[in-house]
Amino acid sequence: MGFDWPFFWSRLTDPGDLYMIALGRTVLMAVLAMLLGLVIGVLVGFGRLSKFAPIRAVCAFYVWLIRGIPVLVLLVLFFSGLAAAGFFRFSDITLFGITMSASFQAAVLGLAIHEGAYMAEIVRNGIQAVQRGQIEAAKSLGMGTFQLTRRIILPQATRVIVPPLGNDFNHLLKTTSLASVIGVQEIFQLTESMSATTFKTFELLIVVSITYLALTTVWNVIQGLIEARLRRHERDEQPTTLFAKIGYYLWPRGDAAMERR
Amino acid sequence: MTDVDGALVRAENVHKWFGQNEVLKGVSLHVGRGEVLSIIGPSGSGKSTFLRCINQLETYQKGRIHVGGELIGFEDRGGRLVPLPNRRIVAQRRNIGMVFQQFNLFWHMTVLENIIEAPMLVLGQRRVEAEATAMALLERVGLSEKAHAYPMKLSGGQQQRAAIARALAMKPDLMLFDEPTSALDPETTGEVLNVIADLARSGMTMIVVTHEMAFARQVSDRVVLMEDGKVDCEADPETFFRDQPSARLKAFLATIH
Repeated sequence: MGFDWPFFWSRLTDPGDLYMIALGRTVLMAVLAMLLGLVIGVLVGFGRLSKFAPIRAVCAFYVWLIRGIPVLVLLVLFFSGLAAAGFFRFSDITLFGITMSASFQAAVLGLAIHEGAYMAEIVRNGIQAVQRGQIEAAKSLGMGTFQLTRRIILPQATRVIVPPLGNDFNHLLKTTSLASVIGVQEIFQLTESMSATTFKTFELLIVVSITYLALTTVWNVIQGLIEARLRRHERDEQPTTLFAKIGYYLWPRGDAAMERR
Repeated sequence: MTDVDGALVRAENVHKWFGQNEVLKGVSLHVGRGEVLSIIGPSGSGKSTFLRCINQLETYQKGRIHVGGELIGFEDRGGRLVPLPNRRIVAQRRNIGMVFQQFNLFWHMTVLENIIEAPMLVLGQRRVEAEATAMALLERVGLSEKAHAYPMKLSGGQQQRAAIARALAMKPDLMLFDEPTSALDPETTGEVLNVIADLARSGMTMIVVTHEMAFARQVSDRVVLMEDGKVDCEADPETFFRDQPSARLKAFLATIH
C-alpha cells in the first residue's frame, strides 16, 4: 500500500536502457509521423484549393473520412484489419542496420494519415490567409504560379501555419501511446508490461507521465524559437538571447498579441 | 515595339463583365510612348478595372488591348480571340510595372529583398547586380537608409515609394498607378507624388488613376474622365480643367471641389 518513493525515484533517475530505447521509439514515431503527415497535409491542403474539381473532391473526401475515424481504430485497422482481410501485411524492414518492426511501420503510417487530414486543414487555412494583394503584386512583377507559390504564398502561409502545427505535434507526441495497442514497444507499452510484473502501477504511470511532460516541454522551447524567427519582421526590438526568444513565445505581450502584422 | 502611329498602349472597345454587371462598356484609349495619361472619375466608373485589364490582373471579355504592338491576354485567330496560356500572360506582365493603392509590399521581406526578388527570380539577375540597381532606385525615391527595414515598420508614404522602386527594378516600358496616394495621409501624399512626377519627367510612359486633380493637371500630358464604364472625355490638362469640355466633367469636378 501507499506510494513507493524509493522505487519511484530510482525509476525516474535511472530508467534503464530498455526505457530509453522505448523513449527513442516514441520520439522517432512522432517525428516520422509528423514529417509524413506534413507532406500529406501540404499536398492535400493545396489540393483542396485546386482549380481542378476532381482533385478538390478527392482531397475533401480524404479529410472528411479520416477526421471521422478514431486514431485508435485507424491503427488497429492498418495493422490487424488489413492483414486479417488478406489485403496487406506489414513485415519487418531493415534499413541502414536499423530494423523497423511491422507494428512500428503501421503505427507511423496510421498516425501520419490521421495527422495529414488535420494538417491539410491547417495548411488550407494558411494559404487562404495570404492576402490577395500580395499575390497580385507578385503577378504584376511577372512571377509565374510556381514562383509566387514558392516565394510568396508558402513563406507567408508558414507564418500562419506554424503555431497550430506545433500544437498538433504536441498532441501527436502523446498520441503515440496508442501504438501500444498494436504492440509497438514505446514508453507506455513498456510501462504497462513492467507494472504487470512489479505491481508498481501507480509509480510507473507517474514516471511515464513525467516523461511525456518532459517531451512536450522540450518541444515547447523548440516551437518558441521557430516562432520568434518567423515573427522577426513584426517588432522593433528583436529578442536576442535564447531565453528572451522562448519568453517571447510563452508570454506574448498584450500589444504584440493584438497587432496582426 | 510601338504601333505604327506611335502608341505604346492601344485599347479598343474594351468590355468587361463581373457576372451580370458590365463594368467596362467599350473603353477606347491610346497612350503614346513617353506620355503620361491620368484617368479620373467617380468610384465605380471602371478606371481601376481598366488599369487591371492592361496587365491581366483582370481579363477583359471583348475588345482588344495592345501594349507595344502585342495583343494582351489573347491570340487573334482570324478575328476570334483565343485566351493565351498562363505562361504567355506571365511573360507579358514583365514589361508592365504596377503600383497599388495598398502598396502590397511583401511583408516577410525587407525593402531591399522586395526590390531584388523579381529581378533575380524572373529576369535571372545576379544578386550583386540586382542589389546595385535596387540601391540606386532607393536613392532615387529617397529611401536608402530603409533598405534593411521590414515594410510594416515604414510609414505609408515610405512603403509606397518602396513599392514604386520595386516596380521600376523590372525596367518596365509602362507603369500603371492605381490610386497610389488614396491610402495615404495628406502629409505623406506629397512625397509619393513627387516621386511619381520625377518619374514622369524622366520620360516613363505612365497611366495614373488618381483623385489628385492638382497632380493630374501638373504632371499629365493628357487627362481622361471615365464614367459608367466609358471614356467620357479626354483632353490636354489645361483644356480639360479650364474649359471642362463635357457636362459630366463639370458635374464631377463640382462634386470634389
